[in-house]
Amino acid sequence: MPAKKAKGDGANGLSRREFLAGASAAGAALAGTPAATAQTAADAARPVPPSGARLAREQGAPEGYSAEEAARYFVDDPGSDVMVELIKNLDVDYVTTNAGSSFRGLHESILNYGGNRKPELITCVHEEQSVAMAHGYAKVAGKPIVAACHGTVGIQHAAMAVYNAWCDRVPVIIVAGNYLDGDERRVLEWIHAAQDCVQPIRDYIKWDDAPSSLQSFNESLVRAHKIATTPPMGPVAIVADSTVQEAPAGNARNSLPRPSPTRPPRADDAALAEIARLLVAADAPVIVADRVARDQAGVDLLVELAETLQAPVVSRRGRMNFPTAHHLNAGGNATAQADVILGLELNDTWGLVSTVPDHVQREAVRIARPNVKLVTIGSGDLFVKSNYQNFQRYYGADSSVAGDAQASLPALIEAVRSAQTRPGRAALQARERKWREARAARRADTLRAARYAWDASPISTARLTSEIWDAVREHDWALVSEPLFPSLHEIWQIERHYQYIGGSGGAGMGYGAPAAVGAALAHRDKGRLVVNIQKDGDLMYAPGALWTAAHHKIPLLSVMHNNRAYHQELMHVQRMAARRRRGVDGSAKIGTTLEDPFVDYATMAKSMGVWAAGPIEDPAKLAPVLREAVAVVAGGAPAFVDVVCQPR
Amino acid sequence: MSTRAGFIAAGVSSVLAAVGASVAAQPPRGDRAVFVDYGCYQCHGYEGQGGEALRIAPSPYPFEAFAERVRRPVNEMPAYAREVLSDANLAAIYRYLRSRAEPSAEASAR
Repeated sequence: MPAKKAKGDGANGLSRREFLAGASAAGAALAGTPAATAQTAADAARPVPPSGARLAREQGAPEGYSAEEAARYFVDDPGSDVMVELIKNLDVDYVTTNAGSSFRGLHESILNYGGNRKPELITCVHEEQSVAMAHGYAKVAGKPIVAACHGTVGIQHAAMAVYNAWCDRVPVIIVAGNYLDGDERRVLEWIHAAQDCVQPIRDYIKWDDAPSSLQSFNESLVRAHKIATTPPMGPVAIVADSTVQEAPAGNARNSLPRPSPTRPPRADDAALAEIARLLVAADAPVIVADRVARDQAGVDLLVELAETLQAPVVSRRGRMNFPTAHHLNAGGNATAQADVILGLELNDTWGLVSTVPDHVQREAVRIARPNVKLVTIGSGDLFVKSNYQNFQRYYGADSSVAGDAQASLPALIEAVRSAQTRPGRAALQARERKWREARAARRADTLRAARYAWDASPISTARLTSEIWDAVREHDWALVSEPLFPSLHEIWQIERHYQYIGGSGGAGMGYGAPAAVGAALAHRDKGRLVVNIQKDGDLMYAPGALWTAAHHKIPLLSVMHNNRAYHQELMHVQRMAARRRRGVDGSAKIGTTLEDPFVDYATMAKSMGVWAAGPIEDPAKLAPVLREAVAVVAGGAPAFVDVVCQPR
Repeated sequence: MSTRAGFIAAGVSSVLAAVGASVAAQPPRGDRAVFVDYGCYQCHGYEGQGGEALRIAPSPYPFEAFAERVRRPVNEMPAYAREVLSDANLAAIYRYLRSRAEPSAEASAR
């Protein structure tokens, strides 16, 4: 049977091996040819000879084999080597993956062609974990990595984590292996092949492609990276056909498309000037920020804007937007008093002015002043999909300006300064005093409230928060989870952007542990003490992430907020029972609690090679155990402490 | 309006009597069990210290206001009708909340 012509061959019609055969006579002359790299897509059609170094390596036939035998048994310069080359060009440091045969070529190339370094392969035990790790990583590193998935079963496993990344506007590059050519498939490969393997996640990714040649794959991967990292950011998926991975690369190696990141769009100057005039004229302006700051510069800009206006900032905590100890860090009720609200990268604009209490009659209740002016700057309107409703309820803002908030802040600050007048300084000073007093009072209230149930068992969440804070505060720490208890954001002094990364986005269970491990991976080289306050119900979805942390020596302190329940659901069922006047004295626990038996999480963590302690039920024992765990993490390993806690 | 007033008039006086009469008769453990069984801890914490919802111990509202908020809450709290939460059990819950201690001097969040 004649060997198949390699897909992805150049316009000259020669296969890679044929090209090499023809070029061998001139090999010596080509030895000094520089590698042709970083060429544009426009160069793709032009056949370019391989580099001299590569020719020297590939010319020699395997010893003892004829050319025909060599063609039957061996492949030189496989397509997946070029894929790895391109992934390196995209500055991707890691590939998270649960191994799958549909991308075995890529897997091997990462190891033996790429040297398993930039990208390094991170072994995961579930595709949900692979994508959630990439999600957490990107929020710390500020750049995406690749999550390689089996195209069919892997994509379906990954789906929930993809939805979280979509809702959280986080770039993740999913590479899905598939068997496009039915003529080549073996038995199981038919079961694990699809016409359109990305279909299950298409409603919640920004873009995807299923290229059938290596050149097309290369261009699509670079395009995917560009789209994923352009605000509003989000996950993308590219299918890596197994034949394209395993066949010789052809000329595609020599025409690698050049990455061309898109600069975040800035809001229109005239619109910013109009917003600035509104803010300066307001008596009680309030800034609400959701997924605004991409880095410390974003935090600094928001502080500058807030201080220029002496306007409080309400962070929706999609990202670390504003220092918690700052006098202008305000609680959510600040918006109720506002006459002008500036919303930055909001996901839920309607929710600033109204709410729907969970009553029998779902009636909207106004929570903002009737005449409040609400203006928004954000990139969310620039890319919306229809099926999943994470875009929230529509609200007709007084001014809605398209643009990336962080990129627009310098011009907005300048416009505010231009609109301010000298006589307004006294009002600003009075406003500053008011918010300083309010901030101090709120912190004092929180610390006072935390004293209640201090010695209780199950351990109070305020005690848990305080004890962890005491254990980590002297270190260069970072929190990589989103505890649901509000005391944390008062007790912990979160100052730097990297110290907090928000939550899952889609509220899909199974995010916590793997996203924390991914975030800790991004922090690892910085030597930070990374803390994950882990929910017990969430850990049950993807506990294997602990093994990955141990296997790859990723330092991470996980402290379990173990309320032995899917507590949100417990409250929901209790509400239904109360509403229907039946069963409130206990039935709600059926189907919502994790007891009888209790899960021994510490033993589970130990079984995966993680230092672990618990369950801790006595609050007096918490501090010494945490000190021990911190020492383990400081030594470069993960540690896990199971703490039996109050629900919230 | 008249129904509501009637509820308070008839219900509160009898329940107040129950609070006083049964403080000594019922052991504290029983009151806690009622508090837990009826799910109050879910939002208010096992000690009534607050969490998802407000702190309600150790100094809850006066009983009349407390009962009114349980029967006819004004916010997100579900309403607990007498059919599922008897006046006696409501009184037990109230006793439990009042029995909680103030924080010790050593307790200190940093």
